Amino acid sequence: MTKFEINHNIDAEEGLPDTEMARKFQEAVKKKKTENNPDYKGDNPETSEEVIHDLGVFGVYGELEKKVEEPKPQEHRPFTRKDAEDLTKASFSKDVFEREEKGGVEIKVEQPEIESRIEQSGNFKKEELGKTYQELDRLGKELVDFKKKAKKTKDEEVKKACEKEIELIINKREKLKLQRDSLKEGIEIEKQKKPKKTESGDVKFKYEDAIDKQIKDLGDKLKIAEENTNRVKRNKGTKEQIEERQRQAEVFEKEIEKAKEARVRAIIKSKGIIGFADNKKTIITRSQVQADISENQLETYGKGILTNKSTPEDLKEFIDKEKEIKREQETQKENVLDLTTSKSRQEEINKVWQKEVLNNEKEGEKFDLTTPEGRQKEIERVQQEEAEKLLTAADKQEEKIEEEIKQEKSWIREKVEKTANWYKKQPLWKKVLFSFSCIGVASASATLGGAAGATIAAAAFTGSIGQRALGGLATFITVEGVLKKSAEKGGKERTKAEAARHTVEAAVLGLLVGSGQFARGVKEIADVTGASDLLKNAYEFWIPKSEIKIMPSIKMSPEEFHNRYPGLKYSAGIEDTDIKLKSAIGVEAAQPEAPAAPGQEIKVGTLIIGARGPEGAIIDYFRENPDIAVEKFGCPKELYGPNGEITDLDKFNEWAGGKAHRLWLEDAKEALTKPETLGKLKELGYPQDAEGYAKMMHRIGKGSVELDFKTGKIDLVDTEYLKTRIDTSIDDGGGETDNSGNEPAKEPTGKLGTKETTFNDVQNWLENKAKIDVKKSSWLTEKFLGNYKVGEILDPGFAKPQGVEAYTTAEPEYGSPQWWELKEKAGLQNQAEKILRNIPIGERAGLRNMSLLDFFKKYLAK
Amino acid sequence: MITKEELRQIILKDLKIDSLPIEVQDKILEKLGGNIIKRITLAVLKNLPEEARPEFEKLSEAGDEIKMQEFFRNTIPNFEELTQKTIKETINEYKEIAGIK
Repeated sequence: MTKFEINHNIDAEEGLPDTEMARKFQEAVKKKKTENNPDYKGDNPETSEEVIHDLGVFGVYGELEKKVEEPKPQEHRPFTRKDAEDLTKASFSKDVFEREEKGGVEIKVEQPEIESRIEQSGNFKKEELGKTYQELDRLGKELVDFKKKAKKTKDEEVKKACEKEIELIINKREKLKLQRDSLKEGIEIEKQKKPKKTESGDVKFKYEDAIDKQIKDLGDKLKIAEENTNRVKRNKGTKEQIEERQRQAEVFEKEIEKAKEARVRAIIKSKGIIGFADNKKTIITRSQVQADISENQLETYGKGILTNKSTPEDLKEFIDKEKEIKREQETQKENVLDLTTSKSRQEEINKVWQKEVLNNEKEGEKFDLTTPEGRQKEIERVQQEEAEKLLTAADKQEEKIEEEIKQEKSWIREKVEKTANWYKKQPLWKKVLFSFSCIGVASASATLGGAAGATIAAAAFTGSIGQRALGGLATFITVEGVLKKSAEKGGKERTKAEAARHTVEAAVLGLLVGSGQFARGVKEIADVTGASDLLKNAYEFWIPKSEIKIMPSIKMSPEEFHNRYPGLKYSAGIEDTDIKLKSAIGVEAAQPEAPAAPGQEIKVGTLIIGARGPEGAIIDYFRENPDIAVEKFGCPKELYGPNGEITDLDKFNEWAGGKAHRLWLEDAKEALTKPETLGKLKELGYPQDAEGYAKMMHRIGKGSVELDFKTGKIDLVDTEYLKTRIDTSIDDGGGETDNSGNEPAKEPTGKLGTKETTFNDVQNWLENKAKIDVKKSSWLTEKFLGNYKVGEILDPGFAKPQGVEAYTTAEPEYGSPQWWELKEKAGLQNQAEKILRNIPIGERAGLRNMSLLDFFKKYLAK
Repeated sequence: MITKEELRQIILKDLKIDSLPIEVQDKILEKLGGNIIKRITLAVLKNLPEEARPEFEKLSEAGDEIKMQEFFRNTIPNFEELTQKTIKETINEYKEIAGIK
């Protein structure tokens, strides 16, 4: 396919008069048509008109008619300001699109930029529009005539000739329609150019508004062209007819694209950002044009010569440089510049600006850049300048903030000043860490960044910066933010799994840095990500063994630590992050062990068996680990609220109690098949059956329950049991003897009768059923039972250490008063729960606030 | 795996100060931190109802950061959003003044 390029730039067809160019073009079209069609007899006036018309439609006709004064080749002249401006314009107008003319001749037409069309809109005459309409009308009539002729004739040749004419007329009409639209557009733009009177004054014409209008109109035309294509397809038009319509649609599509680019240019112009230079001096800031320029477009402008704003001062400087160049040219003839081509001019522009930039940079002290020392000094000088710039920016911002503070009332001013003074007194490392964490907050997700921001704010007001807020939390949010940002910059959104992984990874990094405050937040993170059990796994991924120190638990000696974490640094004397971590992720009842070693998968929750036995420990665990209870043990989701709180205590107790009991029964069944269990029962004096096993369980001294998340089973480990007692229950009036040697047995005091239940009855019952030595107890008095409510003893914290001891997971020493107290409390709690289980759910309402004494009196009597 | 040094570099690059000497980096971060803390204080106190001031004073004296957080959450609407937004805006403002893109 032959291509003819008609370019209104001076580079094409250099030296030929424009009329000659037009003639050559027509000849070429004729030649091509002849090649394609042997019957073609030559251009008739109409065809010639068609060609010229094509050019007119696309704005070239006017260019051909112009007499362009070309510079003589190789003539060296100063590169003037006008050249620079022309060059700027020329670079703006690289709007080239291709259009294939009917007959297979492809014409590459340089489309005048949209700005030119707008600028020239005033040249459009209304009369031209009228003529176009008349021509359209005339051709329409011709079209009808030929259609009639084609329908009537029986002569195939005549019919073919008619069809050919019809096709020709249709094409001409379509081109005329384009011209018509173009003229209408010009008239419309001209209208817009006139300032409009409004209440607030004149509204000036804006290019971008005119372009917006064009984009809209082009969109309408595109729609019509697409509809036309579909219509021709539906009517089974010829391949050529369909392709012609498709080409039209493509033209509009390209036009729209160009219009959008023109809009960007219009905005740049309106903001005074036209110019030229090299990238280093770019003044087009994203903030100035970001809303209107896409990233790609900005890149395009950034790479081209139009990367800088040229203010009048810039241009003046540029002209001075031109003079300098000229002087240099005169003195160095071997380096004479050829400024007649766009390429050479472009190169020269770059050279000039590079030179200027270098000169600017070398203002002040000059170094010999040919020596390493000189280069180093130059680097330092540049760094110094950069540092000064950045520090000055911080000072400027501070001044701005100070101004804002001045506007406030004295109370606020004083507080801000106090906080600022406190900050100033902090050591540098804390201040740096603070900034780091703030950058993390800025880039972190809303949930985590918000929480971290709140922590930082609270820390600032309480003067606890660096002790809690910074450290782990700071690193965590920073890493989370950075990971998120990098994932998004990579062009893909984070999947939920990725987000969870990033969060966990970040969390672990934060943990490794070490912060008590951080550990508190881990549960929230786990809730957000649903990844609590991944937390420990992430150690494997994140721990650079030789570098990162890990927080040992309080009781972990260096030896224990090294055994558990071979290769890691032991860091003594730091607060017990391990314990806090477990607490935060809801393994509150777990043993005080350190996090899993690298590579160790978390499959098991280890729960200390307290005074309420294995079932009590399991219930507590479920209470505090909603995720695991739901996901691994089938707890109904609705029993937990959005923050993991229990929504219905009765239902929860019912579920958790039942589940714990079933788990225990299952374990008991299995245990009773093992010789070692049977041996233990025998050794301690219990029957070697389920009942005996249950009794032994009531006399458990210490041990743990391991909850296997995978199998959903439990296992009792490291257990120690007390010897049996000779049970003489209240029912048979017998007594019981403690054979353990640890605790003296209490004599039964009789049955609960139907008469009014007294405190003594309750006491006796507790001593026999709950095995609580009420008389000996320092706390279990009538007054206590009268004051304590049922709801209060059901609280999981009731049978747990209080005060300072609550912050450790170490059990009180066996046999100590604290140990006995906890055991008794757990027994009381256990009995109350058992009674409650037998009470219909409906009846339980209101019992929460009933005193324990009344509760026992009422239900023990039944 | 990201190392601490890499992490530091990522953050420094964000502020375009990664090529500067460490002491200069620290100086810039110190100043920026000072500006942020002032802005946070200003933003939080401007949003704190007057009747809550006595309680605020008490908590400031006590130095209990956790209670302070709870207090702010209860007294300032969208407290978390406010702090994050303030931090973000202050950093962006700094970047703009410094011509960091």
